[in-house]
Amino acid sequence: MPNETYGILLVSFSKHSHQQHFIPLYQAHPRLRIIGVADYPDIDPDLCTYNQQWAGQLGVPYSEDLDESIDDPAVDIVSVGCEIERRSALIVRAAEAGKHLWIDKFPGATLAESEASAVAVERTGVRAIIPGYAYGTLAQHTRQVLASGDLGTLLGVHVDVMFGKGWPRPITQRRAFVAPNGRWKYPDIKRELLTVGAYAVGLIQECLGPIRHVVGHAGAFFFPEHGAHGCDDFGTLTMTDADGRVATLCGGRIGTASHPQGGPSRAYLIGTRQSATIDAKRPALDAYLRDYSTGYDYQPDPKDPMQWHGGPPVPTVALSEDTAGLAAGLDDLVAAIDDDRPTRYGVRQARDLMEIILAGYRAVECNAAIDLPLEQKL
Amino acid sequence: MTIALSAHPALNPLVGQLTAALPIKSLYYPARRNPNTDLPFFSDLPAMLQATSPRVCAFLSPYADLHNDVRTCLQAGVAVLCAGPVPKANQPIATGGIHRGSPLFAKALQKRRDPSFAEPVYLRLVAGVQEPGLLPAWWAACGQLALASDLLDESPTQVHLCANRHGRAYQVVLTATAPSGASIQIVVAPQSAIAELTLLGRGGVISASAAHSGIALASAKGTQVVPDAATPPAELAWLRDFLEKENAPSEHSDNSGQALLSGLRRALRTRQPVLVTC
Repeated sequence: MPNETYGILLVSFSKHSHQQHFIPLYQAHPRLRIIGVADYPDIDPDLCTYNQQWAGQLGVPYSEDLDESIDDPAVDIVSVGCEIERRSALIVRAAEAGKHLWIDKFPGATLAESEASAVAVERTGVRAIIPGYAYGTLAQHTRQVLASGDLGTLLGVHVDVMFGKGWPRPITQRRAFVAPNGRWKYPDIKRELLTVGAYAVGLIQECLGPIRHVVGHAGAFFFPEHGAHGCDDFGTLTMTDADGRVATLCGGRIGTASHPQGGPSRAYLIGTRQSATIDAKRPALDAYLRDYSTGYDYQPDPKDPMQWHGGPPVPTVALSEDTAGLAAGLDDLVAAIDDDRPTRYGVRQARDLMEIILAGYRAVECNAAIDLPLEQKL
Repeated sequence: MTIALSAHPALNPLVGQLTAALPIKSLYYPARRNPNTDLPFFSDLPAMLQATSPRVCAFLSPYADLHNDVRTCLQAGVAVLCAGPVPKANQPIATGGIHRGSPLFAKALQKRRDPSFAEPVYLRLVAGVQEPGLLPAWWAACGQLALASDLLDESPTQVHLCANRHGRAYQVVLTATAPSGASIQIVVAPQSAIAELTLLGRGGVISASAAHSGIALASAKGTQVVPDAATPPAELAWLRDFLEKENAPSEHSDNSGQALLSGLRRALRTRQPVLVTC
């Protein structure tokens, strides 16, 4: 029924998710309507208040009874915006209730959780999407170049994705690297190789076959907070696929006002005949406005020092309104539900992405190349 | 002072630029192909040495018997400098370091040393090879690693090396951590024109791209970027520096180049990252 509208339940506005950024997309989409906001009953009081504020703003009910909310027949899609540690259980529960899924990045905090999410989605036949990786300008341009055949045989892909956010300072304490072991965030920081590097891994998945070997480095820091925790604010991975093709990436948070577009987002596709340099934020318009260059206070808001929810103005603005590809991803999800087909990037790919990143973290920890597949228990 | 060059025909434009500025009298390369140059060309090294009596021979391209030709030159009293390492060289010769003559490198180093840049955290280099084949890819990898070390003022002791090929098109990837903790990623691509540099520091980003630094030619099919010919090639300053220092070896051929070549062969064979001690 192509004219049917689908009801969306927004589960959590946790501060590490992009739920609030999805709302304009949902509201603008002619086939979607927001049904309600829900979350677990035992969440942080601040998050509960925030959830309620959003529910009030959207004019929809807020519920702490997740089961009841998910089972509501008016709900067709669950928008998963809870903390990474709670995502897998929520995904499994929603899939078993026959609800389709819009998942903000990772489907679990561990490989086992991610696998459980993938199995639940495959078993129930619901449609699920992780929209952050395969729909943006970088992926679209990459597909265009690969489809043209101009490169000849693809030898490798190299991706740099960085967020020009936060305020780097001298590293006063450099704790030894701490393996994540399922813990991806602290009150003041997030693991950035996971958070930002995932975009690069998503693109590499688009280009190469199954990854077989991974090397990782994460010994340098921009922020003393990360140094003190022994957690990456920046990292690099090098990997080879089953055919011996090579990919590298860097991902991290590199500090505000260090790049005209808020951080590089580039891919180098190396072919036998030609190589391509793709910039996710081009085509673009340069606007060097004196007031911004000389008078703007680039210091981050003390309430959001890592600028998780904002950033400074940039002098070079991308022409695309959808560089991240979220609107394109939403169209794909709706079409996948309509046509009963998989989305371009679903939970199985996201589970594989998590495996690559986990291998990278283990490679950093061991200072050695790690072979895939990993053990499921990780 | 007369100079002889040894260069693959792919470097003809460079040979032309060098010949216009220096007393280069002959060109040698161990191949039958006519290099299409105004210089007297020889495919036989002893014949070239006898005919033109050069004081210096600069080897700009690698090939299998390079070490024998280097030895022949040295035995004839001809000073030698090489654009890359020479396997099996049995005495010190000046090798590598061409990047030090590059205006881009000089400016990048100047900005890197600006206190506002603070400490380096990450360096990404993407560079091309002068011609297809394993040895040019190896030389390019060595050259980029040397550039990285000079730009960071420190050298990694180990690198992870990955490589693959299709026909004579090679891709080489080096990944390393410098003693300060800064990460290094180097990609060598089969195309000579590609050249990208991104250096991140706590104080900001230094970057350059050949795609944004050339001359844009617009046509009905689109825009093509061609390199400018006005900027002097780094090889010119490199050669001049060698001549001014009275042919003193500026850099000794050491084992790291050989280790990279062995690692490269192993990476091609195993199709997985190999750890190489520099």
